[in-house]
Amino acid sequence: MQLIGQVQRILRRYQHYAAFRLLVLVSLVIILVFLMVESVSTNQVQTTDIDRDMVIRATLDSLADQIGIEYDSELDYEQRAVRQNTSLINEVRWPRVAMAVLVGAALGLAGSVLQGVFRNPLADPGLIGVSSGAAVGAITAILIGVDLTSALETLPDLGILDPANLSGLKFAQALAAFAVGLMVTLLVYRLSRLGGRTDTANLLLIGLAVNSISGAYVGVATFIGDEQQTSDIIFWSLGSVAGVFWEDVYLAAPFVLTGVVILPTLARQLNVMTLGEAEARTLGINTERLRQITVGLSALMVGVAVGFAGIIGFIGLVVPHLMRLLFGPDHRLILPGSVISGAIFLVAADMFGRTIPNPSTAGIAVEVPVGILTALVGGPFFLFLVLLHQSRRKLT
Amino acid sequence: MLAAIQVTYTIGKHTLVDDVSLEINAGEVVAIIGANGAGKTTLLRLLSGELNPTQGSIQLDGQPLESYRARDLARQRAMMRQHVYMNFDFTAYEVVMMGRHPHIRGGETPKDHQIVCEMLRQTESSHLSDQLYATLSGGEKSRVTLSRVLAQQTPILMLDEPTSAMDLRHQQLTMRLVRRLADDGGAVVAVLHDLNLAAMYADRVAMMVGGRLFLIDEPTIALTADNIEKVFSMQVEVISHPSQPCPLIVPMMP
Repeated sequence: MQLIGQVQRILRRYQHYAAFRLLVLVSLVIILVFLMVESVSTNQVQTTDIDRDMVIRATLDSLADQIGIEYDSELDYEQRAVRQNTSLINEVRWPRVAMAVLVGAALGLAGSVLQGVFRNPLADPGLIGVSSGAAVGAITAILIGVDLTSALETLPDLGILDPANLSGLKFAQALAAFAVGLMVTLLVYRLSRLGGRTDTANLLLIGLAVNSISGAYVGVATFIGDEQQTSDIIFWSLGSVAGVFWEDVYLAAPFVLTGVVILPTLARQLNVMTLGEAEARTLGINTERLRQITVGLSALMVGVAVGFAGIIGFIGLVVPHLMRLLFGPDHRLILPGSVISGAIFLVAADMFGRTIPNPSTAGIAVEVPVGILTALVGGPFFLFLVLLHQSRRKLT
Repeated sequence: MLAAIQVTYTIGKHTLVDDVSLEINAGEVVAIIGANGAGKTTLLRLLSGELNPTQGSIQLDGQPLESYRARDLARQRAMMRQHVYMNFDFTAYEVVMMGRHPHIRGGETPKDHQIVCEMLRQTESSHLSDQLYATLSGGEKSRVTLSRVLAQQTPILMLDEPTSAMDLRHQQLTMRLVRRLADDGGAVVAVLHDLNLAAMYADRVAMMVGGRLFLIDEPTIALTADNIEKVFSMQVEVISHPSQPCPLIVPMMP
C-alpha cells in the first residue's frame, strides 16, 4: 500500500514536470519571437524611424502576400518612405534576424549535445575542432579569393533564390568553412580514437592542439593577406550576421534544421550516456553510433553557422550551462531549450551590438561585431560557472 | 545460460585472461575470487560483452554475444560496475530509472515507476530518491547502482565487487537479494573480495590466478586453506560456520 502511494506521488510529479517543460519551452518561444520583432524594430541609423507597429504590419503583409491570403495592413505603399521601410524590414532586417536565430540555435544545441555525449560540462563546439577547422577553411577561401558565382548559377531554380543576392565569394567562404570544419572534426575524432575507444580527456587535448594550430594559421593569414583580405579575415573572425540575404538563410536552414529535428530525439540516450560509456553500452545503447550521429550533426550545424556568420564564441558553452542551472540536467528539456535559448542569446546580442553607441564616431551608432559581445558576456559568465562549480566541489 | 569457451584476452604483450572456460547456469550464484590483478574484472567485462575476447567466444543461450543487438543484450544481462562517475545533477531516482532504458519505448510508464520504487525499497534506498547521485556516499552510490541494475530486470546479473563500499548490514542485504534472484531462476556472477560472503551465498566459487581459472567448485570444496594460500599467498584457517552450513575463513597472523 505504501509503495502504491509512493508511485502515485512520483507519477504526479512527473506529470507536473512534463507540464513544466512545456511551459518553459513555450515561454522561451514567446521571448524569442518578442525579441525578434524588437530586433527588427531597432533602428541603427538615426535616419530611419521604423517602429514595432510598422514591423508587425509590414511582416504580416509580406507573409500574407506569400501565402496568398488577403490582409489589409493599412500601410500606404504610395508613400515612398513606407515603401523603403518595408523593403528594409523584409529584405534586410528579417533575414539578418533569421540568420541570428539559425546560428544561435545551432551553436546552443551543438554545445549541449556535445557536453552530454562527452560527459564533460566544459565541452563546446570548439572542442571537436569544427570551429577552428571552419576558420581555416573560410580564411583560405578569402586568401585565394575563390569565387563560386558560376557554380551558384547551376543551382536548380526553386524560385526562392535570387541570383543577384548570391555572392560567389561569400558562398565559397561558407562552403570552405563547412567542408574544412567537417574534415578537421573527423581528424580530431580519428586521432582521439587511436587507442581504440574514444577518450574524452584525449579529445580535449587534441582539440586544444588543433585549435592552437589553426590559431597560428589565422595569424599568418592576416600577415600575408593584402589590406582588403586582412580586414575580411578580421571581420570574419569576430563573427557577425550583418549583410545577410534571404538566400543565405535558405542555404543554411536545411543543415541547421536537420540537427534541430534529429538531435532532440536522442535526449533519453544522452541522459543514460552521462553514466559513462561502458554503462550506457550495457544499458543497450550503441554508443559508437550515438557519438557518430551527435558529433556529425553538430559539426554539420556548426560548420554551416560558422561559414555564414564567422566565429561566434561562448554560446555553445554558456547556453547549455544556463539551461542546466535553471532547469536541471534532463536532456529532454535541455536540448530543445538550448535551441531556443541559443537563438534568444544571439538575437539579443546582435540587437545590442547594433545599438551600442561607438564613442569614436561621436554618438553615431556603429555596429559592434556580435562575436565580441557574446565573448564579453560569455567570458565572465563562464568564470562565474567555474567558480560556482568549484564551491560545490563538483568539477571533476 | 552464459558460457565462456576457452576465452583469452590480451592487450599488447599482457595476457589478462588466459584460456578460461566456465558456464553460469540459471538458478546459481557464481562468485569469482582472486588476488588484485588476477583478471576477475576483465573476465566479467568479457562476459558482459563490454570487451571482445582475443580468442575463444562468449555464448548466451547458445548464441555468440556479438550476434545480439545492444538493446536485446541489455534485456538479458545487467552489470554493476565498481565505480560510476556522474558529472551531471541527476537524482538517485532518475539514475535508477535509467536502468529501465532498454525497456522504455517513448516514455516511462507507471510500471516503470513502480519497478524503480520497488528496487529502491529493496536496497533500503527509498530515502535517497531525491538526493543528487553525485552527492551520495560510496556505499549509498553502490546501493542506488544496485537498484538500477535490478530495475533492468534481466535474467543474468553481473556484479563487480558490489559490496566493497557497503556497510555490514547492506553487504548481507545485497547478497540476500542476489541469492533470492538466483533462487527465482536467475543467473548471478559476482566478483567478491570477501571470501566469507562467497562462502555463505555462492553455489560455486571460481578462483583465478594470473588470468587463469585455478578451479571452480562448491564453496566447501574450493575454499580450503590450501587453495586459498595458493590463490592469495596468504595463510588462513578455515573453520566451520557456527550457524550456517558453509566454511568460515579466518586470516592468520604471519
